Amino acid sequence: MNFDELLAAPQFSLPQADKDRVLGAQLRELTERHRSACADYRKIVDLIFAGGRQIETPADVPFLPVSLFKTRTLRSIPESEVFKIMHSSGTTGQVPSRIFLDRETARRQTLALSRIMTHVLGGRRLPMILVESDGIVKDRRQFNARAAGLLGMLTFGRQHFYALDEDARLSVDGLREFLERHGQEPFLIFGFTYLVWQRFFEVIAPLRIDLSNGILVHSGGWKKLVEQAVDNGEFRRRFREATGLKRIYNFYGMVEQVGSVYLEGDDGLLYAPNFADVIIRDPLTLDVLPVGEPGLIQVCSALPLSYPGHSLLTEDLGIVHHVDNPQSGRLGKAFSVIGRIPRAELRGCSDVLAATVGG
Amino acid sequence: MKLNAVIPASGVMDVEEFARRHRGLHGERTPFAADLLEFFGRFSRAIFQSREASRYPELTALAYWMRPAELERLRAEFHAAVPADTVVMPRGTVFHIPPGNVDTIFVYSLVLAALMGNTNIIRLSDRPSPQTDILVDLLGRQIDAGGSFEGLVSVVRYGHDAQINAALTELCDCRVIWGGDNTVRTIRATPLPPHALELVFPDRYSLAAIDAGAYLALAEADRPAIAADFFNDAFWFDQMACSSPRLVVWCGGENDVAAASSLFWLGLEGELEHRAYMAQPAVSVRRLGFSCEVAADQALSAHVHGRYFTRLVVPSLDGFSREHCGGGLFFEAAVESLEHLVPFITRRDQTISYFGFARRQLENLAGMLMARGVERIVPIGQALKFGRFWDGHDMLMSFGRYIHIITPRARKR
Repeated sequence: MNFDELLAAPQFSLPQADKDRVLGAQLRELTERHRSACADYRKIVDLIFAGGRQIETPADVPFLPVSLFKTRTLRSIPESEVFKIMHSSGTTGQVPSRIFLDRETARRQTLALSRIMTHVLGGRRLPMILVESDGIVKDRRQFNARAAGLLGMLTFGRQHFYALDEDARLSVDGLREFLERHGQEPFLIFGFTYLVWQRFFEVIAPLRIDLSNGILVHSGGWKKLVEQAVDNGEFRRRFREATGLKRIYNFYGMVEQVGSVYLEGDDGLLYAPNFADVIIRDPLTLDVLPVGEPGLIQVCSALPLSYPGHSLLTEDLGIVHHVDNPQSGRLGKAFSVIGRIPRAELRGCSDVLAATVGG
Repeated sequence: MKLNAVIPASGVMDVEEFARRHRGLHGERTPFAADLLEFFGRFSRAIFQSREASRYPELTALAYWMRPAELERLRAEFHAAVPADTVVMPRGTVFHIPPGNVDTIFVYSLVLAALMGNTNIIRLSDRPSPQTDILVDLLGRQIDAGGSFEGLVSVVRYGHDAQINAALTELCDCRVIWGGDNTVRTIRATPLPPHALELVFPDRYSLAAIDAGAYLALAEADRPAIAADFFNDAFWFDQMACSSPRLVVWCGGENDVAAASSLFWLGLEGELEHRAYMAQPAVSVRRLGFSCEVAADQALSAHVHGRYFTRLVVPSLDGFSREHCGGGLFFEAAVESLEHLVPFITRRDQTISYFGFARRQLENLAGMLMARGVERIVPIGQALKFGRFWDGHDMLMSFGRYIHIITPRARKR
């Protein structure tokens, strides 16, 4: 199977053993490609990962810590071929990641996202509610992760309704109007998880608004909700009870691998599309962990041609729950994201001088 | 312009008011006055007896360093250091600016200055720290416990404020700035009174040197002790103390170095296992990220990522970068013999902790360093041990003023 066939095949249809082989071959090619085109990548792979040879399955592929895209300029194309630079929307004081895309990689990302989304949305463009203000897409020069994610999703909808104003307040009247017109047929709701909860759900929950024909797609992490003791199960249950909304799809993805989206199944677990996979590693030894053991998430994707980001060690913790479970309706690994690794707390710093009694 | 006076506990007050009060104090004493020794001896006991303090090994170490017998020893050293034709008196007021993140430094700095009879102003940052709070509380109690220690030490807290720094600097005869190159640069922008002196402790780099042959000659039963000592030097402050080793240099032939190195790291791993050392996931990831950076930027001959630490072997020390991420990452290099280290040493280098060298070899090395760097050469296990000689200063005697007395020679009749 080549890349196009992986993309064309029904998503989530590959048994893990087949995926290991097919995706392993794709990733082997990409490793070679980036090794010869990106000097930094070659030096890192040659020293830290013994040259990245002997790749059979995704687990054999060298993995770059995702933080490297913040500190270094990593690309496998000449500067003249850079079509777009993606930035992570890093919080204040943090250096954002910079991801260099050429036209082909950008095209693959768009295509890939579309293959994944049509799996749950069908082929039609649905009327769409965006839990955002329209301000975010007006400034198209800033391709941060949030704007890029939103723009990527716009194409799956029509008659877009931006439900929030500039101050992130929900327009309840606007929402009622939208539902009057489109509420009787399938419609799409998209937004970032914490906005969907705090700015959308919490406002409409007491209002008896019917969203039972809706399909909610959301992403962006649970950190802010965990503080309010809302996890994925609670999120789904409360939506169902208050609005009748049952078709809810969380997804996991990152600006360093746009297009490789891990979409939630009906069981509330995340699944890798055909052209991507996750591997869980022991954070200390970096060894691959078996099913059921929590560890660092490594993400592999066959999409990145223009930058060496086809295999990345994230700073997220996750767990694979089962593999090729026939009951889930999807093949491959089913996993969930637990959260970020706790920040490093080093006692001193370079300013520091310690004093003690020697041995 | 306000600061928070913690000792004496006057609360938030105008800096002008603080300065006015400070000028009115007559806290100076003669060096090593009996009541000073007694005061710090009591402080040491109070730390030993504090249940809270006992939770922090660095506080116990401080109390041990300040115990009465050690203060007596320091007094003897002081008398030995005073030349026959001089009398040593205090400089006056010492203004201490300790680092924001090593909680015990301010006490070490204070003790040496106070024993010389100076009055002291200590600026603490607003960063919360249980260790600092315990020390400030116990120090305040010693002052309240009686005796006339008013003015011996004032502890104030304020954020980064150049104007307050300037106002307090105006009061001092000696300023002590503990580190971070940036801190030193920032505070130095405030000029000292013309007569005043300054001691600065900027960022430093430290390494360990081991004679491969001597290490291999160790009986197997003696190797764990070296591992334990090295653990203390490197891991107590997550390798972020400036005297903690970040580079290990092996001295000897290729085969000896290979054999000694593999035994040494195996031993360290055993020590960490034995202590059930809690390695942090984020630190492991940071080590991997840093290793990738180094691999892209400089020549390396090997990389080994372990559960507790990472080794990066460099083929040569030429062009070696002293960048470091802390948290258990060791660069490793080999030289034929100790003197081959000399061209590598720069002013940034502070401590060489060693194993397997005779005093003669170490003095030979020191004698070749000229103005390059390295101001401490200590056995492995003592890298973090504080002393009066630090960063090339004799801190104790720097806090004193020499009065040179010349009497006419007896004339021949």
